[in-house]
Amino acid sequence: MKKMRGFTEAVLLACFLPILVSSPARGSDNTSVVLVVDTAKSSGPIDLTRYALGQGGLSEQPMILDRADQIGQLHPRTIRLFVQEYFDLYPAHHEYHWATLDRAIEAILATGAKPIMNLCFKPRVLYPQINHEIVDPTDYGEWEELIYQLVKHCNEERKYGIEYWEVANEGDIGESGGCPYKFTPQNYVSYYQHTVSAIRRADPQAKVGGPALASAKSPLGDALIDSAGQGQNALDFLSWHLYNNDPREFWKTIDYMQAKLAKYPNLKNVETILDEWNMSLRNPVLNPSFQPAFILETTLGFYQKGLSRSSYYHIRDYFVDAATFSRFMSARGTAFMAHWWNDMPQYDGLYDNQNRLRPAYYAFKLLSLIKGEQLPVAGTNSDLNALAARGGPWVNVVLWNFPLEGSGKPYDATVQFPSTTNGDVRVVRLNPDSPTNNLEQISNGAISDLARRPLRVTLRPYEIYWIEVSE
Amino acid sequence: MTATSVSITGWWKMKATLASLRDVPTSLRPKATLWYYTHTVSAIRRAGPHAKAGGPAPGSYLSLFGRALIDVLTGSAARGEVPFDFLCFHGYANDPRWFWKEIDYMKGKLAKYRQLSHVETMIDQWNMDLGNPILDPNFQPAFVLETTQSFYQKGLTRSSYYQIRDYFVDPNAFLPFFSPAGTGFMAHWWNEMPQFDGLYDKQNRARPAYYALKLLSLIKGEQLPVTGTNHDLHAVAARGEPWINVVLWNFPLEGKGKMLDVIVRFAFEKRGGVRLVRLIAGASVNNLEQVRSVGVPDLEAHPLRLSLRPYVMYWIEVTE
Repeated sequence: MKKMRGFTEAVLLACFLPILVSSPARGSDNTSVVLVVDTAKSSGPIDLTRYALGQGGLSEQPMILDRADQIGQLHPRTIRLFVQEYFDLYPAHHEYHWATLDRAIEAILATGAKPIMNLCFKPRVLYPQINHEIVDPTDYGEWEELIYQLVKHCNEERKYGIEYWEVANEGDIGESGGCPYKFTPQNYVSYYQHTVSAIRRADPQAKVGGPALASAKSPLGDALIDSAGQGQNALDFLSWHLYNNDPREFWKTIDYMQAKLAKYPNLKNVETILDEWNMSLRNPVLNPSFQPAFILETTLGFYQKGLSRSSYYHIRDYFVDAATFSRFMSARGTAFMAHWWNDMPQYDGLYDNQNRLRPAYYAFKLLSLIKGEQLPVAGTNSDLNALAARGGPWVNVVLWNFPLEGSGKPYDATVQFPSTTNGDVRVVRLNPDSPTNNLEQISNGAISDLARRPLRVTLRPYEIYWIEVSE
Repeated sequence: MTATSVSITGWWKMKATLASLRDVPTSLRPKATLWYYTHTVSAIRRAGPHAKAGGPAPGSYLSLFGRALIDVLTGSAARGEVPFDFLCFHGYANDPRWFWKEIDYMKGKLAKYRQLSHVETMIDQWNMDLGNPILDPNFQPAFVLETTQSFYQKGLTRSSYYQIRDYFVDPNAFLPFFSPAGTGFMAHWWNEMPQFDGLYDKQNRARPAYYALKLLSLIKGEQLPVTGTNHDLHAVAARGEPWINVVLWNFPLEGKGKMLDVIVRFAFEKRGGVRLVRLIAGASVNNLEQVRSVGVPDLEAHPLRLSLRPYVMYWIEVTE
């Protein structure tokens, strides 16, 4: 044996101690339910990917580009983009600068989504004074030409195939909404008319809408609906925002907006888009299980209420550069933005300020699997909900416990597939606490074994399970 | 120590078929595969006369097709008909002993031919059971240590842990060479199914298994004997000037295991410092947690004591 220099021997002395291993028992106080997924019966086609995503208007950088692969796997049909002044689209009279905006659009296209273009920029050459209450450009002819050139650049020169063009963002609250416009009902309708006219001149097929209200009940919305209802304006979609911890509040706004549109028969085809939404930003619920379950519950309501589209706010939390915003926002508005995004803790993004994943990502991943033929699920109740769909050889079932009243209670759910006898069944739980492996496989076996060992899962409040049956 | 190989520079593997067909678009019969191998290796050697050529990377030693293929390939190589520098195979199992059996089986195949005594053995895909992974975050890193130690003890030449990073697949990139069913399988496997393989997951987050391979990389230099280990408690130690590294872990091969209280002594070290580090598999940052830093002379009064629950691991670094 080769002699070792300074031979060292490590000695391990081991003594054995007993350990107790406990497994969580099924709670005797749990409510038992039986969920029956009828794999033999289709309720019709379903695809929830129109309930998609947005990205905050925070930087001229393509903020989501390094996550394009991961976002692409959520299959969002649209991603809302703030066409903000930091893109510097109109640096001088009759001069256009598209390159920076193109990078942001192409980052969205890299995910497989199409942008919803939110027009909220304010070129200095047309708005020499920084004041969010000044909403009319110095020359509407020049403004319209700028918008015309923008749409033409996107859809003719670059062939981005952008459908949705939204006029203004949270113009009912001005700089507090992150954009330099604060409208009155009268000047919004006028601004909208000029802008939409230029969009449609460049692309007659473009879908136009707004006003992306901070508050669904703002009179800006009424003014736009009335002008469109009276045939004075084109309106393809009506948009608004909400941040609230109670899914029912979102559903109420859908009813409210649909009722407003219903007053005018010529607006019956107008789409409804909730294009910023999340938990309450000021009073978020930070139980890590809450946000993913909140997304499932709220989105199910979107689907049931017939909402056309949505844009979850948002993909990635990001820092803002105060100097950049000071070029088009007041000192106060800039400080607000810098404080909100750089100093306040944030809970919105699927990725946080450190580019770390939040569990909410997986709620969208699971929703993306509910695609194909919808399958009826019997046995759900006001707390326990489920969605099921057959897509090719796979049946996906997502079930969750979201108590709409009180703190909720745990359910012991037995899941049955009466008409499926062959194939495998995989049960996966969303574990929002784990640093990796958040989609935690609980079991994987033959479906024929379910007769002997039924599929039972316990769902505490806000817990989510995903069951995949491979036929 | 047999380290995980992540580079194939200079190594050419003719991966003809897998019983599971997980990654390979065609299934070939053993003799047809040998024909394919012969042509492929001939071209490799013509371009690089010193290239090492081998195969056939079956999904498991239990694959009947893989067994037949290895018989044909080793027989042909032993007769000098084809070059054969390495025999490679795959395995996915939660029990390290499964891999021991696989290595023994493959070595047994080579041992039948004196002419193949130089042939290297490689497990070039291995991990936990992909269908039924164990998701205790401590398990996978301990499994990596335990299994790799047995690779070393069994004389396996090389291995390639599967894999570095979980990644999405683009079905359109697979369609030109896979059937629609095969493409659908790949897209479903990688894009929809939860994955537990990569040192980095699909979000590029490090899994604790990364640290197991990091600790193994420290066991380099002069190996040092460690006494006192047992069926559950394992350790490897090495001197790589001027540091001594010891990695120890609790991996119960039978049952659920038990907590082990361990005292670590360094019989011949009289000076320097000792750093004790624990792998915290469940943490999102600072996974290598420094538990204690002390001078070697202090160990006499305050010995290095640690408790290892099943699948827990410690790293001790002695600085001279």
